[in-house]
Amino acid sequence: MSEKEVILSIRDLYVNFYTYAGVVRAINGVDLDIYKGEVFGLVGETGCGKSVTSRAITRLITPPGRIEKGEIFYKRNSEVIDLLKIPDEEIRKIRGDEISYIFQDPTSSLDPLYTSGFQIAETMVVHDKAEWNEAWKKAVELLKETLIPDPESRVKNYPHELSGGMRQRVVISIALSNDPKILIADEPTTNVDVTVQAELMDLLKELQRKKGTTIILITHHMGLIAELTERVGVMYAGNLVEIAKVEELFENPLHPYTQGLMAAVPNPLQKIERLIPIKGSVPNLIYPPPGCRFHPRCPKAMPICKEKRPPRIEVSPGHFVECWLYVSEEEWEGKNNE
Amino acid sequence: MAGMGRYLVRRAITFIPTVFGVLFITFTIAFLMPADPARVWAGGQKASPQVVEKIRKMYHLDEPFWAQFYYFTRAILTNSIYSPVTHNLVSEEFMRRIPITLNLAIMAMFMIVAMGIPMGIVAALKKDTAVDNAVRILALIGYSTPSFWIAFIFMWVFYNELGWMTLVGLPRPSEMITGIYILDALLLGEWKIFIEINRRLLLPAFILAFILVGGLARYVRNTMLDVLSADFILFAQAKGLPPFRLWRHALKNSLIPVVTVVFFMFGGLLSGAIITETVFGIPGLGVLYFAAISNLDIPVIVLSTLYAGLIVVIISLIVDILYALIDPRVRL
Amino acid sequence: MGILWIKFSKKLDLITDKFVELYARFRELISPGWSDKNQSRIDELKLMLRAFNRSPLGVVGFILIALFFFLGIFGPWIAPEPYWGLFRYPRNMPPGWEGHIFGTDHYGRDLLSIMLWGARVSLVIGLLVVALGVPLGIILGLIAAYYGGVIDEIIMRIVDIFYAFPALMLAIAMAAVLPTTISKFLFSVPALEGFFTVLFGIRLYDSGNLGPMLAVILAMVIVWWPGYTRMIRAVALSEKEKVYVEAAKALGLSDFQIMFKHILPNLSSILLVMITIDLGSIIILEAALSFLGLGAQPPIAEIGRIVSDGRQYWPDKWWLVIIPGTFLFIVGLGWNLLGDVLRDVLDPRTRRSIEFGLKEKPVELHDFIGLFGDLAILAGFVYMVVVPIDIPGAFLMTGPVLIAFLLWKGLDSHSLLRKVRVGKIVGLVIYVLSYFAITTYLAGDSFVAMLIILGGIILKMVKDELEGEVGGFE
Repeated sequence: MSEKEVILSIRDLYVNFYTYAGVVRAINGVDLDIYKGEVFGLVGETGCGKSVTSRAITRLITPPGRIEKGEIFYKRNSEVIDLLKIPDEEIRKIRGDEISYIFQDPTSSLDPLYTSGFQIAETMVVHDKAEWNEAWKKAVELLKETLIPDPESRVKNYPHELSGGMRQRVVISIALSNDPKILIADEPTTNVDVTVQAELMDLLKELQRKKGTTIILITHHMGLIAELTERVGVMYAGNLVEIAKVEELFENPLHPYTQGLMAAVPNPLQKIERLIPIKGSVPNLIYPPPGCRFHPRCPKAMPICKEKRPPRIEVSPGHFVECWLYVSEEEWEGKNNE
Repeated sequence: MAGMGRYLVRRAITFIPTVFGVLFITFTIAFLMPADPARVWAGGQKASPQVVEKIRKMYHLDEPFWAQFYYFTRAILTNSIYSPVTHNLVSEEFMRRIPITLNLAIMAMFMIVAMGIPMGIVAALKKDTAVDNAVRILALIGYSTPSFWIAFIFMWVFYNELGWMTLVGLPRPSEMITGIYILDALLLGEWKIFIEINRRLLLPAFILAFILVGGLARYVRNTMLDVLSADFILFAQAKGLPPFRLWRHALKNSLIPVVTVVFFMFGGLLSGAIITETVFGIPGLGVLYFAAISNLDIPVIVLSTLYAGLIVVIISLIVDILYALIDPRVRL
Repeated sequence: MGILWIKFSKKLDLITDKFVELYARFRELISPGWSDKNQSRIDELKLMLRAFNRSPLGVVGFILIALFFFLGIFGPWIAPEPYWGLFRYPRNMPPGWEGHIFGTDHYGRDLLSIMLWGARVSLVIGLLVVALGVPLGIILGLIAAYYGGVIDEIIMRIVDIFYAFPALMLAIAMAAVLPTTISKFLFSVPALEGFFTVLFGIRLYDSGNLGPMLAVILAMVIVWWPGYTRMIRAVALSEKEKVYVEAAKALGLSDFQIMFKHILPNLSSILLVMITIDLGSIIILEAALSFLGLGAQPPIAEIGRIVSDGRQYWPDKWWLVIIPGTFLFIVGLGWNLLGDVLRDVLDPRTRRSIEFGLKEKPVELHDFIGLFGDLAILAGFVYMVVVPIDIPGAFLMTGPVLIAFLLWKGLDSHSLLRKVRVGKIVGLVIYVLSYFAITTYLAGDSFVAMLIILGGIILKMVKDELEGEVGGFE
């Protein structure tokens, strides 16, 4: 793994939401490396912190949310910068240019009062990539690239005049307009028709192959993960509990939560007789369970799980897991004394 | 813009029945008028039966509802309705008074918008702080204030105590350009007259503004908060838009509902300033209406109500057209 | 200030809790077993009142309105002098003159007494306008929303037409036009005449004034109902799309039952807020009408009329305007404060500014805890799970408990809550799926969402309901 170049690395990230019901500890110490040119998948149940993690990368956390601590190193050409430390104006320039997003709901992502062409062109203009005239022409090309029929007239359409699938293509065009280094796709196909889903995914795959963009794909759709990604991170209740290559994750899931997840959803690589639900429910993140956050639902929970948070163990090269099961007795002692 | 044309046609089709409905209701009101108006107009109990009979014939008072309605509508269209009390053509009476009421309404609206919108934006940005609470309390006080009460208090402070205001006369600028005194005085550069008009009308306009400004501010605040929390603002941020562009998206989206409210407030001001006009003795439409009620001057009552209704209907037509211009979704 | 208020409001909590318990006991008297069945409703009510207590503005508004009700109801009895004692004293005497706190009015009567009589008139007119206008608005709004199509179009056109008139103008015209007709009708029904004289607290001798007074009321009803129709229609339209309406249709419930038993209750909180705020406006508009000389004539005491009688002496005899005017302002402010805070309390999106001092109740062994949400929220949860698990003492429990996670397909939170009400709430769990789940809930039914935000609901489930699924808990 080390021969690959790391483009983004998240270290010890904490994000809290200050709600009236209490402090929601949404992201609780996430560490993650993304390699240049790969497609990385992030899976987990709703509310586990996938989206929050991805938005924290460019500090798109709005009140009552707040990034508590952590570092996000981004390799820009040859220098490495910490995205959480640079000035607002700098991070603004990175957003939409070097790191861009596709959100879940194309309908609400687009401003209803502006034409799709304007919204695409605007993205280029604000990053000084083009003047308006040129940007409009480019917008047409981008729409052509995303396989929208009749792009010349579509640029003049308002979002409400487009179908859901087309809206998402416009959103994708916006995200791609400045040839980003990293594309973060947050459940890009959840809100579009099943038939369109496949087309959109093909489109993303094709673009990734052509331009070598790094893609972070967030989804709870295991099929997409298996089909598109190279490596996968599994999130549970604000923790990244397992990271592995996609084949390895499907064949040999280590964390009990991942194992449960594999049993609960149809696995595209295996034929299984019966789907088994994971017992219990997502924990309350205002009063998260102490120790390992999964222990109340874990079939293999041990006494230590209730007390201490498990360390991250590299079980095999590139396969990380945060679970006491894979910590040997001696190490236990060591970790306990820390 | 083909959609626009079709939209306007459709909007116009709903416009006509509404106007007719307004007309019908105003006429029904008049028809229900209890006292024998002919007798009142002829001079009360002492009136000679012949005169009463003549008036009755003239205004078709002895005919059934539908016939009266027909005559009434015809008279409106041919502009031949006279007030039986003042013997003036009612429409002329209106034209004399409309500039004054319009003047008052414009001044009040100017103050409401100039204060309300910035206050609302600030309250939205400083949500849940003392500023936000102050705007909230101001709005609640505005809703709860009886206009006659506040009018008397302000009159005492600014007229009796400070002497800044005057309660009589309303000077006209030497020429009529727009027909609205204060604007004409400004355009002609007649400062003395401009100041005099302000001395006469600023206080009543301020009272009208005082009652409504908090409401507008709070409305702007809530709209802004809704828009700012919308997904497309976050996505625009994710696109890397600079702050001024984000504001453009946010403001344009907040604009639509706010424009509606501002226009309807203006419509309300044009016709609803009856109390303020009465208290300050401003010879506008409100005073005309009030006098008509006391004199049972049915033609004036009906036409005033009708005009007020028409103003609102026309305003809502304008608002809808504006909507269609700003918001592409309406033009379907 | 803040901390002091919280301390104070905790004392208020004790009072409001007592009040709710009293109410429960009263219901218990009427129908034994009521409070057992409705324990959840009782707890809801307590919590809502506690949330209300956290807001000083709301408490002030409530006190003002309570005072207004007190004066409105008992005013005529407290008043030292009757309103019909004209010219008993010199006219327009200043406050404090010979022991008359507010002085005397234009007709040489004790101003304090007149105000007390006037408060009754104000209160009754306000309540009558609401009692007549709101049901009309609701019925038409529900019909328009539920049936749609041509019926909707016709109703909404009529609403548009009424909306076209400025409220004050239409009210003036109606109030000027209607009195004779109403008087005629009233005199033909003596019982009704008697009823209204008692209601307004006037002498039968003055019943000639009932016509103008009822005309003012009818005029305001005509002005007010379209607002309710519009609002109810808008909310009902979105409510109609919810699953439970479809479910009710599938179950063969009649349109009437669906509209009034299922849609309407979900609009109750929004209606309550609107009515409260409108009562302030109604009382002020009524005063404006009587200021212009409409409605009851002297000697009947009407607040707006006192102002208009006193205005000719302004500003030398200021009290004739200031005292009744301030009274109106305070009453109006009271209603507006109350309404504004109620909106905060009843709307989960704005409730965040109000803090709750919830005391968790320990849950005992073998209590059943139900936590619920709808499918959209738990999209990550692929399958229905009904399992007993062990929850650690981390957030509230004193011992091991059984939890049933219930996820009923096709049931929205409201109907689920109804099911829950059959059981018994023994406490509240602070249970939040995640921040995003909260926001999803917030978009939903406010009344229920409030409970969800507070936590899930702990309830004693009907046992066999669960036994079928998991083979029993014992």
